[in-house]
Amino acid sequence: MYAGAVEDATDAALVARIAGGSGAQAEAELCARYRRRIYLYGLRQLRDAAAADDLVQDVLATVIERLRAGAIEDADKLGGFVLGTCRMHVINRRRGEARRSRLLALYGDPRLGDDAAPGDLADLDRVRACLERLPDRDRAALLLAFYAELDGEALGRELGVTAAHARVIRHRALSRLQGCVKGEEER
Amino acid sequence: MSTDHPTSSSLLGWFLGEPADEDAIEAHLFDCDACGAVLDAIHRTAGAVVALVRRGEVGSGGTSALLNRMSRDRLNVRHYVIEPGETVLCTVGAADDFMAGRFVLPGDPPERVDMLVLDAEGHEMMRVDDIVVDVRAREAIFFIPAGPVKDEPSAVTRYVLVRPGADGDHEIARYTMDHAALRDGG
Repeated sequence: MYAGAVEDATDAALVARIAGGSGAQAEAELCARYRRRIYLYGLRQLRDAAAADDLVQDVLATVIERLRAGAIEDADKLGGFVLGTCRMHVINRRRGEARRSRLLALYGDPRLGDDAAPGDLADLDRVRACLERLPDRDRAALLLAFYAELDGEALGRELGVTAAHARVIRHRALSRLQGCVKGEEER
Repeated sequence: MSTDHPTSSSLLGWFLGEPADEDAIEAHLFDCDACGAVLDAIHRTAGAVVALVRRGEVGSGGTSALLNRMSRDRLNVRHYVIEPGETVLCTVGAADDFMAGRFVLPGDPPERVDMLVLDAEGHEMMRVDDIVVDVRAREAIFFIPAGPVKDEPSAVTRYVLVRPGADGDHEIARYTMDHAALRDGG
């Protein structure tokens, strides 16, 4: 009934395998399929790499537990279920974070923020070389967006242009950078 | 799954925390491998950019928002604020991550400003087109990685801000940095 490689299985087939109690491989495949998306969602919502990593573990544990219990009614909507679980955990974390913030206000934060994904050194070399080739305004826009974490409105104020124009500059700069890096990789 | 994919610009905005279409983009992302891959590439690129700044390995024009963020990250940025026509004596310290020149403009900046970098004899070494001007601070801010500067000898460098026009460059202001080499032990 559950023959076939799990890599090729639909989400619904994975759900059926896990609920049927023969799902170790299916669980591993489900984790591989959703781990990265959960992480990126967590990074976007929590702005902290360690918290995003924790979110991945929490969400996958919850999802698998619910699948084993056969608690998902519509197996074709697994993505929506995972997203809903992400949102629930983020809300819970924010409640905890509010308490943590009150403690940090009292005792200070000993951490140096480090939520980047630097990749390997070869990646960094390629990105550095391509950044140097960008027009100065493009390079500055990317640094302001990614490093200073400015949204479109704030970027526009910094560059002296409208938010819409700033988003165009930002997107164009990213496209140029990624195009250059891709070219470097293919050399 | 919706086949109405968000644009890569929308995904970039979502990644950076902008609220537009947040719910729709998230719902789509959890069902779409292709958009997940686009987002993953954005994340990798952003991570590399951030890492390069934190390692002190990228130079750029910028604004005070960038310098403020560097300060929050406890990066060592050696600032020089230079008025039009002024010469500043500068050096680099062993612990510096970046050197930043803050070139004060003499008035409201024109729509476009280019920067010429000249050696002590006035020969053009580099031209940077359409530099970023911090409009509120009336400054053109440039920062460079301190690492390579630590090995450089003493030298005079001149910076000229110009407004390019159909009839050539119109000088806005010039500045001089008189750099003393880092001594052993900095």
